[in-house]
Amino acid sequence: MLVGKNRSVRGRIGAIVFASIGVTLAGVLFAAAGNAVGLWTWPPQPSGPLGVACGVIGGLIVFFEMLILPRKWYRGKRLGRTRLWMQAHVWAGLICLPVILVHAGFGFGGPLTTVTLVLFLLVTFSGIWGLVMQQWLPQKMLEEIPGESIAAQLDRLGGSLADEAVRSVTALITVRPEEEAAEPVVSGSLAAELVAFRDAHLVPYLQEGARSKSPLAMPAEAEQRFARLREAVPPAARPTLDRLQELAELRRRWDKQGQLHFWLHNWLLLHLPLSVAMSALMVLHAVRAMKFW
Amino acid sequence: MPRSPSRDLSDRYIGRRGYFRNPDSLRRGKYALSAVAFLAVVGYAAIDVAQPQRVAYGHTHGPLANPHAAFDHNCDACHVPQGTADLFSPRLFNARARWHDLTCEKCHAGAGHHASVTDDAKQFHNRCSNCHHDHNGRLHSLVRIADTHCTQCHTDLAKHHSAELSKSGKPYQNKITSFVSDHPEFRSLDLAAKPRTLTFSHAVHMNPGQAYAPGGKEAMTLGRIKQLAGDAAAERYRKPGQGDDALVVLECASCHKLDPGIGTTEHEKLKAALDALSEPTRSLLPARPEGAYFLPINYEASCRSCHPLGAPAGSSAGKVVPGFDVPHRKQPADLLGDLKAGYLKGMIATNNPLVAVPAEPGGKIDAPPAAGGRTLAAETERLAQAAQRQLFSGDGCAKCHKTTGTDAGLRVSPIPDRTVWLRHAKFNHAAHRGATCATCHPGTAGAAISPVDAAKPEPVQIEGMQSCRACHSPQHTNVTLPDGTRASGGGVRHTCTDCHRYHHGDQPLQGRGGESWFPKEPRGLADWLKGK
Repeated sequence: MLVGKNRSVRGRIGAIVFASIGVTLAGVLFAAAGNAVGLWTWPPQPSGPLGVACGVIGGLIVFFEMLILPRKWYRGKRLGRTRLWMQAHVWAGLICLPVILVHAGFGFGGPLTTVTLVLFLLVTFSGIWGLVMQQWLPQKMLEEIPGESIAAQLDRLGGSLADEAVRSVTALITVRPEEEAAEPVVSGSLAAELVAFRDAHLVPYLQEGARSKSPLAMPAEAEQRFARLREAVPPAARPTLDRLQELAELRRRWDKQGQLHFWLHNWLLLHLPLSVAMSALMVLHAVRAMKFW
Repeated sequence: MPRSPSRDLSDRYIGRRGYFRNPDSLRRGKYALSAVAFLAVVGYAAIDVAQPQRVAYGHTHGPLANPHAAFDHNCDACHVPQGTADLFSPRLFNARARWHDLTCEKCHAGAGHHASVTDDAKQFHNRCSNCHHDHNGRLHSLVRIADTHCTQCHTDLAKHHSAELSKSGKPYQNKITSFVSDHPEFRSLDLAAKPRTLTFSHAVHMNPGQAYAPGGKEAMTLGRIKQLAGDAAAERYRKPGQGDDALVVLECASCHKLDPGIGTTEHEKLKAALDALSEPTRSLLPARPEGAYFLPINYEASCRSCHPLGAPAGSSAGKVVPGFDVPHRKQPADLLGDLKAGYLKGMIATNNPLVAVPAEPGGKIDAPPAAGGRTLAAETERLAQAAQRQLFSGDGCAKCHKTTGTDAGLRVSPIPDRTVWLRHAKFNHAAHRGATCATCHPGTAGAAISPVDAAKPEPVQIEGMQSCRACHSPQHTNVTLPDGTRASGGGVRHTCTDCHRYHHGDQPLQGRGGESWFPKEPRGLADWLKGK
């Protein structure tokens, strides 16, 4: 979700950092002000009225934050606008930080509460990190990756590119029955070299991208190899080689898209599992606290 | 019709339009990790429900102190569990108060708070955990608490204490913030309420031979002690190489015994001396090996060797009636019976003629037979009265004791129990044995003194608070020593609980074995381990 519409990437990230720190400081100052007028003690005690109230509020916020999960599962039900959900998710998450810090009395407590609080902090910071990534990487992808595709389908699309490359090279080294020519466009040792290049480097690269360890992953190396082939083959084969190079470049862009996509979403590998664990521990903590405190 | 560029892009997905239904590795990964995290927590919660002791460490704020170690994984042992109904109570938002719902009284007799505290303060003190904080590790002391627990009231005591309910009858200092800065002087040093009723001069007794001045004529020798109290008493005070003509030289420890304990050389010497006098030594010297306080001084153990109590020999019907020892701690009226019995016994033993006179018949028709005009009863009465007058004269009991009344109403003033002078604090003499006695007790050394001054009660020979602060103050604190010199504080501990104890504070000699420390219902071992 983009924060604002007309700001630069740096401006949006700055706004997030400012909002995170600002909301946290505002919450802490509020608690300090309450102490100054005698409403509660400082540092706030987790088991005092303010601490428990913050715990309840924080718990409700966490519960609301987790509702975004079923909202995603049932996105077809159109339970409110996605942007609205994300805005509420982000702001509630930021507000939750000072609330929980006050609830914890700026301490960690026992082992269970320590683990719960650490998970909460990790969830919060991973969320802020993810939000920052979302302000930066989509714009970068838009600018740097023409021909962007669906990240999850890149490997399958790579297979399509490989099929096209196989067909193109085959067309160069064979004579189709409907054609009148007696000789293929490329023949002899050159055809063998072309087939070897296709099978050893081009097709694996198109299918698997950078994972194939193909030299074509490096633009300079690819340019050099295609240039040498282009000089070696007859002029009639050069458009095909241009197309093959274009396919390799497309695959290279998809590799980069894959990398950016990974950084755009990898925080969720932390954010979601830790959110689930933290929420469950929070319930356990609440039950135990209610029983004995 | 030209082909749309978008068509090339969409054509890539021909046959796979539902691609979004098949998650990629990132999506699969986050859900798989979420499931693992959820199951792990659910497993932990299941153990928590089924076997709470196994995971109780997760909920505790820290290990319990050593005395409570058995309850480390058993919250119910001390905390009162809350029920479902409590969820709908306003107390829900006062979890701190719920947390204080403890059951300390199961094992601890709750000697309460000062009788003079206000209701609010009483409520505060009803919560043991307001001052005693557990869950701070095995070695954490539950009784060494921070000064703030005390100063929260003592910085403005009037708010938390009703002076009119104070048992001491004296106003307490309203503001005390620390031992070093504004702690008041020892209240025990003020003898206005209970003046001393015993005349004793340390100066005389610490002079060689217990003379009024060193080298005085009235010197006490070992031979004189042997004559008065026997060989064992003389041996008790004899130093190596001394003969019977040597002057008796007393030291502080000659009388002030720091709980020597049965079996020590000091104890055996004292016991031998007392056994020779047929005194109940075991009741006088109960085993108290802690050594915090000195044993009480008593006549039999410390005075009798030099100051024996005896009825003087008398004369009746031309015969001498021998003198005899009389017991200590008897008022004149009570002693009179002992004196009569003693003289009667002596008269019988010496075949006094009055003993041979037949007892008067039961009736009073005939005049009693006379023997020189006196009867046996009248003679014993005469001898006893004379002895009583002598005993309670200036050279007898009144040499040390103050008396009130005259004749039949004569009484010896009781001596206030001063075994513990600082009754609202604890002090361990054994812990301070590295210092000379005179460091804290000035004026107890030998010195020339006039008989008139020696016959006056001594002031309290305990140095004031400054002598404590010399060591018990933060390092580099400027402290003024009793002699007025300035010094840097010793840095020795100086918190409130280093000297004061709150519970049973008015019973300084009552330790943990005291009756008031016992719980109402002691538990069996199995129940105790389970915290039931």
